[in-house]
Amino acid sequence: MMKEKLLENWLDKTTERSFTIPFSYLLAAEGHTIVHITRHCGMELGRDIISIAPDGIPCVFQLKTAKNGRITLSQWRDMNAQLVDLVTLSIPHPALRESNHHRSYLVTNGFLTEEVSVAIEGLNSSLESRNFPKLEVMVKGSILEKIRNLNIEIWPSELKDTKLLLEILTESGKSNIPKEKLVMLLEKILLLEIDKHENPSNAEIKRAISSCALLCGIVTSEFSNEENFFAEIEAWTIFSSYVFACALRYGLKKKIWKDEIEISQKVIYNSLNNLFEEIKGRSHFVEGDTLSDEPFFKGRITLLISLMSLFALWRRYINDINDEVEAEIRKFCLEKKDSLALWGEAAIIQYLAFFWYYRKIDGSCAPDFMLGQLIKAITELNKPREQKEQVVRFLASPYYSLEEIAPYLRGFADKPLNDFFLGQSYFLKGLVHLFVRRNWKQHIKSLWPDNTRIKYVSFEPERKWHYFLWRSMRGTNIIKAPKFTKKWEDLKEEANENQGKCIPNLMKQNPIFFLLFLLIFPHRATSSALRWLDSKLMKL
Amino acid sequence: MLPDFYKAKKKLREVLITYIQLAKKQHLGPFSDVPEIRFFEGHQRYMETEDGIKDMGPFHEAKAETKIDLKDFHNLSSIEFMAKIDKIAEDIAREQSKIGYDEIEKAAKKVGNVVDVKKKPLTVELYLEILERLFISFDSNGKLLLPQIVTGRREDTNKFIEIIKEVHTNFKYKQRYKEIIQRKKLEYDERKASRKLVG
Repeated sequence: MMKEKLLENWLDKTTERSFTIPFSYLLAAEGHTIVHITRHCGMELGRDIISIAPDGIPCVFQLKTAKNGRITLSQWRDMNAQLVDLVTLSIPHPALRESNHHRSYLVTNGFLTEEVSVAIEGLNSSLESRNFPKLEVMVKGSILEKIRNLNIEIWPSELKDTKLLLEILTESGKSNIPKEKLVMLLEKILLLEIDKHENPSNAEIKRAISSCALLCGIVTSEFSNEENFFAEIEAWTIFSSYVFACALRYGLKKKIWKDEIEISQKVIYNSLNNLFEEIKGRSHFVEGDTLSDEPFFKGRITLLISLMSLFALWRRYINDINDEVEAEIRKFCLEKKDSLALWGEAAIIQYLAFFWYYRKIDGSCAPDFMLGQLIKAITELNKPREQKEQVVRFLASPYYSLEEIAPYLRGFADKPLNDFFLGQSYFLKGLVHLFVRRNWKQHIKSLWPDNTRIKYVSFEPERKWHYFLWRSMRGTNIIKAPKFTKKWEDLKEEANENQGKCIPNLMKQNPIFFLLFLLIFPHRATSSALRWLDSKLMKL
Repeated sequence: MLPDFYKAKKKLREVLITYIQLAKKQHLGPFSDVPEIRFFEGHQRYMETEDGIKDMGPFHEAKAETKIDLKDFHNLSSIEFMAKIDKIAEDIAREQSKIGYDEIEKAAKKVGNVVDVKKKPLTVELYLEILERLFISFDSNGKLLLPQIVTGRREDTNKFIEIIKEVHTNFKYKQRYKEIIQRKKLEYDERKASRKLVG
């Protein structure tokens, strides 16, 4: 009952932007194949979602927020022309075959006034007389019915979990996704709690995945409303990762999870595109309160460069050729690269995303030297200090985000940092291997002595499916000291290994998505993962 | 329920936990300088040294408890309360130290770096024999960094103090000590020089 109230409340407050993704998942749960989801950039001419219904008929949906719970006559007049086009014009989409007809829907989170109902009847009579199909309407009641059919009973029902859901829903859309809270909910719904042993049927799991997708769409609503594109990217990457965990744990066939993953990847791609458009239109990159932005500014630029590099690589991967977009991305990344900031080890994967793109657009040795500079930085910042030597700079492990570590770097933390980073690194081994692959022997020789002072740290989850989890309570923390004396040939052999044994096969299907996964889960970027990814991306 | 002051108490609890973490350092002895690294996941650790020595082991729990008679709570003064908190810090430190010493003993036995005195008294000869077996470090200025000596009894500590005094005053022992340290410095420098990529 409480969950239904929560959903109804959410539906009442939702906007077109925040409703699009959850509604896409509702359609997918009914067997629709989602072909297009709007970026809300004004170019789609009212076609917010395009799908193919289970009977093979294409469907096009226009979503409209009902102000004060109802679509009024004045709103109707504003959208009338667009709706007529929706019904009468064919849908130009490469994924659709030439079709004589399609179904058109007006979808609203509220109800229609009587006048609007009459107006729609009138429109439909006119369309019928011209041999066009009717405009169908979905209102709040039918949407709630669809949601109920999705079996939201499987959402966590204990009070503390409902409280968790409320906390996420009431989070400011301008903040970062509260990952710890989100993953707790996902683990429960997708039956991924490590200490519990379940044996669900395929049907139960399919409902769980669909239901989870809806949940994720709902909890990201506020972030979508604020056009917080990175929060959307994070949330949907985490969702995808947890669906993969579920697929691996329960040995699911692809058809059970394929639709939800495809939609989430479309959403992520759209968010990257939206972010690109925003960056293009910006004259500066300060965000929010200016007074307190300084400690985060360069970290933001670093993140944006990595995301735009990823976007550029993704476009190459799917052959989405557009010279103008490519030129803009290139310009942004090259102009801003001097602002890259190494605030912690989690930033290294962001540097690497740029490196792999940089390597495509710059034939000089500059991209490779970036690797050398990163190695030098780690060995300098995290070198063991002599006793009593004051530690003023260090690189925090990749378990720390910028938001978590900035207070300690800049001295405005309100409690001491109970951790220690000197003498160890999660990324050093991988970086050394990438640099060695490029054959910079003399450079590596000069870096080697300092490299041997840093222990290589990594985490190996107990089971393959644990790899996809934000944190896994079962697994081995591995700390290895590199050998002092090493032969170049042995090092080369190690560096050229690219089997990616630590990476679950599900993740290997799409190297671009794997890079995105590592950007969000930097603590999973083992040296094996980096070598495999490097091999794949260099061939792109 | 009775009125609770949840938010303020939650904050205070965080402060007390931080206090315990800091206070226990005072009771950790030689381990107080050992950095504490945080692991965010996993249930065990695996370590491999540059010489190829491997060790796998679970995480150990260091915990402490204190008893407070709730019926007598109104008689508990702030000083008495903080004394209980300090005792928790001390007990956790003791547990941690025990774990630390157990691990050191295990590691030393594994590589055969144990000198069994077979209940014989501590002598200068024994001390020099121990020094021979140890890996000794030097700082960037070449200054000797001798490891700490930890004993279980006051009389052993006093004995070691006497022994070290004698090493530095007795000519014969002084010479032998000097030779040992020179050898150790050579070993250390060779080890340092072996940090290279060859071929």
